[in-house]
Amino acid sequence: MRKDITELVDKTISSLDGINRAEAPGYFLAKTKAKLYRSEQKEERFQFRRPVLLIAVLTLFLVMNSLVLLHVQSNSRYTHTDKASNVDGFAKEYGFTTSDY
Amino acid sequence: MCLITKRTSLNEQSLIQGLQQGEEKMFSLMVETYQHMVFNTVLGLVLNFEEAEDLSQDVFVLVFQQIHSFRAASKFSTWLYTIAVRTALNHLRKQKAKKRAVYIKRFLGMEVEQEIRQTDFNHPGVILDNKEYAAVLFKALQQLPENQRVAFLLVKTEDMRYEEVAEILGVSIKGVEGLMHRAKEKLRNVLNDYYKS
Repeated sequence: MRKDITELVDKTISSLDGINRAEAPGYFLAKTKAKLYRSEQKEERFQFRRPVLLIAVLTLFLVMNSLVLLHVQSNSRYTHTDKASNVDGFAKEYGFTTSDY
Repeated sequence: MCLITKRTSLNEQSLIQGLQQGEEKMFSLMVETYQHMVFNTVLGLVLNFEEAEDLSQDVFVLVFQQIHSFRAASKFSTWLYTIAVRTALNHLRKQKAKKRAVYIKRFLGMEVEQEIRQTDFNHPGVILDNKEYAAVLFKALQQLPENQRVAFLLVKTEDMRYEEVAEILGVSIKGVEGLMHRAKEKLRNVLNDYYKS
Protein backbone atom coordinates (compact mmCIF):
# COMPACT_ATOMS: atom_id res chain seq x y z
CA MET A 1 0.00 0.00 0.00
CA ARG A 2 2.77 2.37 1.09
CA LYS A 3 4.79 1.38 -1.98
CA ASP A 4 1.79 1.97 -4.23
CA ILE A 5 1.33 5.51 -2.93
CA THR A 6 5.02 6.30 -3.32
CA GLU A 7 4.85 5.02 -6.87
CA LEU A 8 1.78 7.14 -7.62
CA VAL A 9 3.44 10.23 -6.13
CA ASP A 10 6.57 9.64 -8.23
CA LYS A 11 4.52 9.16 -11.38
CA THR A 12 2.55 12.32 -10.67
CA ILE A 13 5.61 14.47 -10.02
CA SER A 14 7.27 13.25 -13.20
CA SER A 15 4.08 13.54 -15.27
CA LEU A 16 5.30 16.77 -16.85
CA ASP A 17 8.42 15.11 -18.25
CA GLY A 18 8.44 15.33 -22.03
CA ILE A 19 5.68 17.95 -22.03
CA ASN A 20 5.20 20.05 -25.17
CA ARG A 21 4.45 23.74 -25.15
CA ALA A 22 0.79 24.66 -25.26
CA GLU A 23 0.29 26.71 -28.41
CA ALA A 24 -1.39 30.09 -28.46
CA PRO A 25 -4.88 29.91 -30.03
CA GLY A 26 -5.59 30.91 -33.62
CA TYR A 27 -5.64 34.56 -34.69
CA PHE A 28 -3.54 35.41 -31.65
CA LEU A 29 -1.51 38.01 -33.56
CA ALA A 30 -4.59 39.71 -35.02
CA LYS A 31 -6.27 39.86 -31.60
CA THR A 32 -3.12 41.20 -29.95
CA LYS A 33 -2.75 43.88 -32.63
CA ALA A 34 -6.38 44.90 -32.07
CA LYS A 35 -5.71 45.15 -28.34
CA LEU A 36 -2.62 47.28 -28.94
CA TYR A 37 -4.62 49.55 -31.24
CA ARG A 38 -7.37 49.93 -28.62
CA SER A 39 -4.89 50.72 -25.87
CA GLU A 40 -3.16 53.35 -28.08
CA GLN A 41 -6.51 54.99 -28.82
CA LYS A 42 -7.35 55.00 -25.15
CA GLU A 43 -3.98 56.56 -24.37
CA GLU A 44 -4.59 59.31 -26.92
CA ARG A 45 -8.01 60.00 -25.44
CA PHE A 46 -6.52 60.38 -21.99
CA GLN A 47 -3.48 62.39 -23.03
CA PHE A 48 -4.45 65.13 -20.58
CA ARG A 49 -3.70 62.74 -17.76
CA ARG A 50 -0.01 63.16 -18.45
CA PRO A 51 1.60 65.08 -15.57
CA VAL A 52 3.06 67.86 -17.74
CA LEU A 53 -0.27 68.54 -19.42
CA LEU A 54 -2.10 68.28 -16.15
CA ILE A 55 0.20 70.84 -14.53
CA ALA A 56 -0.13 73.17 -17.54
CA VAL A 57 -3.94 72.98 -17.43
CA LEU A 58 -3.95 73.59 -13.67
CA THR A 59 -1.61 76.58 -14.01
CA LEU A 60 -3.78 78.08 -16.74
CA PHE A 61 -6.84 77.57 -14.58
CA LEU A 62 -5.17 79.28 -11.61
CA VAL A 63 -3.93 82.21 -13.73
CA MET A 64 -7.39 82.76 -15.24
CA ASN A 65 -8.99 82.60 -11.82
CA SER A 66 -6.54 85.13 -10.41
CA LEU A 67 -7.15 87.48 -13.35
CA VAL A 68 -10.91 87.28 -12.93
CA LEU A 69 -10.57 87.86 -9.20
CA LEU A 70 -8.36 90.91 -9.72
CA HIS A 71 -10.75 92.30 -12.32
CA VAL A 72 -13.78 91.87 -10.05
CA GLN A 73 -11.96 93.45 -7.13
CA SER A 74 -10.90 96.49 -9.15
CA ASN A 75 -14.48 97.00 -10.37
CA SER A 76 -16.04 96.67 -6.96
CA ARG A 77 -13.72 99.13 -5.29
CA TYR A 78 -16.33 101.81 -4.46
CA THR A 79 -14.95 104.83 -2.88
CA HIS A 80 -16.89 106.57 -0.18
CA THR A 81 -17.64 109.54 -2.43
CA ASP A 82 -18.89 107.22 -5.20
CA LYS A 83 -21.35 105.66 -2.78
CA ALA A 84 -22.49 109.07 -1.49
CA SER A 85 -23.04 110.47 -4.95
CA ASN A 86 -25.02 107.36 -5.90
CA VAL A 87 -27.30 107.80 -2.91
CA ASP A 88 -27.77 111.50 -3.61
CA GLY A 89 -28.57 110.81 -7.24
CA PHE A 90 -31.15 108.19 -6.24
CA ALA A 91 -32.74 110.55 -3.68
CA LYS A 92 -32.91 113.39 -6.19
CA GLU A 93 -34.48 111.17 -8.85
CA TYR A 94 -37.36 110.19 -6.59
CA GLY A 95 -37.61 113.55 -4.87
CA PHE A 96 -36.48 112.36 -1.47
CA THR A 97 -34.57 114.94 0.38
CA THR A 98 -33.78 115.19 4.02
CA SER A 99 -35.83 118.39 4.24
CA ASP A 100 -39.01 116.41 3.49
CA TYR A 101 -38.99 114.95 6.96
CA MET B 1 25.56 26.17 -32.96
CA CYS B 2 27.66 29.27 -32.39
CA LEU B 3 26.44 30.69 -35.71
CA ILE B 4 22.84 30.12 -34.69
CA THR B 5 23.37 31.85 -31.36
CA LYS B 6 25.04 34.82 -33.08
CA ARG B 7 22.26 35.09 -35.64
CA THR B 8 19.61 34.88 -32.90
CA SER B 9 21.21 37.58 -30.78
CA LEU B 10 21.61 39.81 -33.84
CA ASN B 11 17.94 39.32 -34.68
CA GLU B 12 17.05 40.04 -31.09
CA GLN B 13 19.00 43.29 -31.22
CA SER B 14 17.28 44.48 -34.40
CA LEU B 15 13.95 43.41 -32.96
CA ILE B 16 14.53 45.54 -29.86
CA GLN B 17 15.65 48.52 -31.95
CA GLY B 18 12.59 48.20 -34.15
CA LEU B 19 10.31 47.97 -31.13
CA GLN B 20 11.95 51.02 -29.56
CA GLN B 21 11.22 52.93 -32.76
CA GLY B 22 7.59 51.84 -32.51
CA GLU B 23 7.62 49.75 -35.68
CA GLU B 24 4.42 47.75 -36.03
CA LYS B 25 6.18 45.20 -38.22
CA MET B 26 8.50 44.41 -35.33
CA PHE B 27 5.56 44.12 -32.96
CA SER B 28 4.11 41.44 -35.25
CA LEU B 29 7.48 39.69 -35.44
CA MET B 30 7.79 39.70 -31.65
CA VAL B 31 4.29 38.24 -31.18
CA GLU B 32 4.86 35.59 -33.84
CA THR B 33 8.20 34.59 -32.34
CA TYR B 34 7.27 34.47 -28.68
CA GLN B 35 3.49 33.85 -28.59
CA HIS B 36 3.68 30.15 -27.65
CA MET B 37 6.37 30.73 -25.04
CA VAL B 38 4.35 33.47 -23.32
CA PHE B 39 1.03 31.65 -23.64
CA ASN B 40 2.45 28.41 -22.23
CA THR B 41 4.05 30.21 -19.27
CA VAL B 42 0.89 32.14 -18.41
CA LEU B 43 -1.33 29.09 -18.91
CA GLY B 44 0.75 27.01 -16.49
CA LEU B 45 0.07 29.59 -13.80
CA VAL B 46 -3.55 30.61 -14.39
CA LEU B 47 -4.82 27.19 -15.62
CA ASN B 48 -7.49 28.70 -17.82
CA PHE B 49 -7.28 29.03 -21.62
CA GLU B 50 -9.34 32.20 -22.08
CA GLU B 51 -7.61 34.04 -19.26
CA ALA B 52 -4.20 32.88 -20.49
CA GLU B 53 -4.94 34.19 -23.98
CA ASP B 54 -6.14 37.54 -22.69
CA LEU B 55 -3.19 37.94 -20.30
CA SER B 56 -0.66 36.91 -22.96
CA GLN B 57 -2.01 39.66 -25.21
CA ASP B 58 -1.63 42.09 -22.32
CA VAL B 59 1.99 40.97 -21.92
CA PHE B 60 2.84 41.86 -25.53
CA VAL B 61 1.07 45.21 -25.36
CA LEU B 62 2.90 45.99 -22.12
CA VAL B 63 6.25 44.97 -23.58
CA PHE B 64 5.67 47.23 -26.60
CA GLN B 65 4.80 50.16 -24.33
CA GLN B 66 7.64 49.53 -21.86
CA ILE B 67 10.38 48.58 -24.33
CA HIS B 68 12.31 51.78 -23.49
CA SER B 69 12.85 50.50 -19.97
CA PHE B 70 14.50 47.31 -21.25
CA ARG B 71 18.17 47.19 -20.35
CA ALA B 72 20.23 44.76 -22.38
CA ALA B 73 21.67 43.33 -19.15
CA SER B 74 19.53 40.24 -19.67
CA LYS B 75 18.23 38.45 -22.74
CA PHE B 76 15.05 39.82 -24.27
CA SER B 77 13.30 36.48 -23.78
CA THR B 78 14.21 36.51 -20.07
CA TRP B 79 12.68 39.98 -19.73
CA LEU B 80 9.60 38.75 -21.56
CA TYR B 81 9.32 35.76 -19.22
CA THR B 82 9.61 38.10 -16.22
CA ILE B 83 6.75 40.26 -17.47
CA ALA B 84 4.63 37.19 -18.31
CA VAL B 85 5.14 35.70 -14.85
CA ARG B 86 4.40 39.01 -13.11
CA THR B 87 1.26 39.56 -15.18
CA ALA B 88 -0.03 36.07 -14.39
CA LEU B 89 0.77 36.37 -10.67
CA ASN B 90 -0.89 39.80 -10.45
CA HIS B 91 -3.98 38.34 -12.08
CA LEU B 92 -4.04 35.47 -9.56
CA ARG B 93 -3.68 37.90 -6.65
CA LYS B 94 -6.58 39.98 -7.95
CA GLN B 95 -8.64 36.82 -8.30
CA LYS B 96 -7.81 35.82 -4.74
CA ALA B 97 -8.93 39.24 -3.50
CA LYS B 98 -12.15 38.91 -5.52
CA LYS B 99 -12.80 35.47 -4.01
CA ARG B 100 -12.32 36.92 -0.54
CA ALA B 101 -14.82 39.67 -1.34
CA VAL B 102 -17.33 37.09 -2.61
CA TYR B 103 -16.86 35.06 0.56
CA ILE B 104 -17.51 38.14 2.71
CA LYS B 105 -20.58 39.07 0.62
CA ARG B 106 -21.95 35.55 1.00
CA PHE B 107 -21.26 35.69 4.73
CA LEU B 108 -23.23 38.94 4.92
CA GLY B 109 -26.07 37.34 2.94
CA MET B 110 -25.60 39.53 -0.11
CA GLU B 111 -26.30 38.26 -3.63
CA VAL B 112 -23.23 37.36 -5.66
CA GLU B 113 -22.75 36.37 -9.28
CA GLN B 114 -21.96 32.72 -9.77
CA GLU B 115 -18.41 32.25 -10.92
CA ILE B 116 -17.75 29.50 -13.43
CA ARG B 117 -14.27 28.07 -12.85
CA GLN B 118 -12.52 25.18 -14.38
CA THR B 119 -11.70 22.71 -11.64
CA ASP B 120 -9.66 20.15 -13.57
CA PHE B 121 -7.05 21.56 -15.82
CA ASN B 122 -5.63 19.48 -18.66
CA HIS B 123 -2.50 20.83 -20.24
CA PRO B 124 -2.64 20.11 -23.98
CA GLY B 125 1.09 19.41 -24.17
CA VAL B 126 1.10 16.51 -21.70
CA ILE B 127 1.52 13.08 -23.28
CA LEU B 128 -1.63 10.98 -23.22
CA ASP B 129 -0.45 8.41 -20.63
CA ASN B 130 0.31 11.17 -18.13
CA LYS B 131 -2.87 13.24 -18.55
CA GLU B 132 -4.54 12.06 -15.34
CA TYR B 133 -1.41 12.39 -13.22
CA ALA B 134 -0.67 15.84 -14.66
CA ALA B 135 -4.18 17.04 -13.79
CA VAL B 136 -3.55 15.98 -10.16
CA LEU B 137 -0.14 17.63 -10.21
CA PHE B 138 -1.50 20.98 -11.47
CA LYS B 139 -4.05 20.89 -8.66
CA ALA B 140 -1.35 20.11 -6.08
CA LEU B 141 0.84 22.92 -7.45
CA GLN B 142 -1.79 25.43 -6.30
CA GLN B 143 -0.78 24.69 -2.73
CA LEU B 144 2.82 25.78 -3.22
CA PRO B 145 4.08 29.28 -2.45
CA GLU B 146 4.34 31.52 -5.57
CA ASN B 147 8.13 31.37 -5.98
CA GLN B 148 8.27 27.58 -5.68
CA ARG B 149 5.39 27.16 -8.13
CA VAL B 150 6.94 29.51 -10.69
CA ALA B 151 10.37 27.84 -10.42
CA PHE B 152 8.87 24.35 -10.76
CA LEU B 153 6.68 25.30 -13.74
CA LEU B 154 9.44 27.13 -15.62
CA VAL B 155 11.82 24.20 -15.21
CA LYS B 156 9.24 21.55 -16.07
CA THR B 157 7.01 23.15 -18.71
CA GLU B 158 9.52 25.51 -20.36
CA ASP B 159 12.53 23.24 -19.90
CA MET B 160 14.40 26.21 -18.51
CA ARG B 161 17.88 26.20 -16.99
CA TYR B 162 18.29 27.21 -13.35
CA GLU B 163 20.37 30.28 -14.35
CA GLU B 164 17.51 31.73 -16.35
CA VAL B 165 14.96 30.92 -13.64
CA ALA B 166 17.26 32.71 -11.19
CA GLU B 167 17.29 35.81 -13.40
CA ILE B 168 13.51 35.82 -13.76
CA LEU B 169 12.88 35.39 -10.04
CA GLY B 170 15.73 37.68 -9.03
CA VAL B 171 17.42 35.04 -6.86
CA SER B 172 20.72 33.14 -7.01
CA ILE B 173 21.13 29.76 -8.70
CA LYS B 174 21.46 28.22 -5.22
CA GLY B 175 18.20 29.93 -4.41
CA VAL B 176 16.50 28.22 -7.36
CA GLU B 177 17.94 24.87 -6.28
CA GLY B 178 16.45 25.47 -2.85
CA LEU B 179 13.08 26.46 -4.33
CA MET B 180 12.99 23.33 -6.49
CA HIS B 181 13.93 21.11 -3.56
CA ARG B 182 11.26 22.60 -1.30
CA ALA B 183 8.68 22.49 -4.11
CA LYS B 184 9.24 18.77 -4.66
CA GLU B 185 9.17 18.08 -0.94
CA LYS B 186 5.91 19.97 -0.47
CA LEU B 187 4.40 18.30 -3.54
CA ARG B 188 5.28 14.89 -2.10
CA ASN B 189 3.44 15.72 1.12
CA VAL B 190 0.40 17.11 -0.68
CA LEU B 191 0.23 14.16 -3.09
CA ASN B 192 0.74 11.62 -0.29
CA ASP B 193 -2.29 13.07 1.51
CA TYR B 194 -4.23 13.16 -1.74
CA TYR B 195 -3.66 9.50 -2.60
CA LYS B 196 -4.19 8.34 0.98
CA SER B 197 -7.62 9.91 1.19
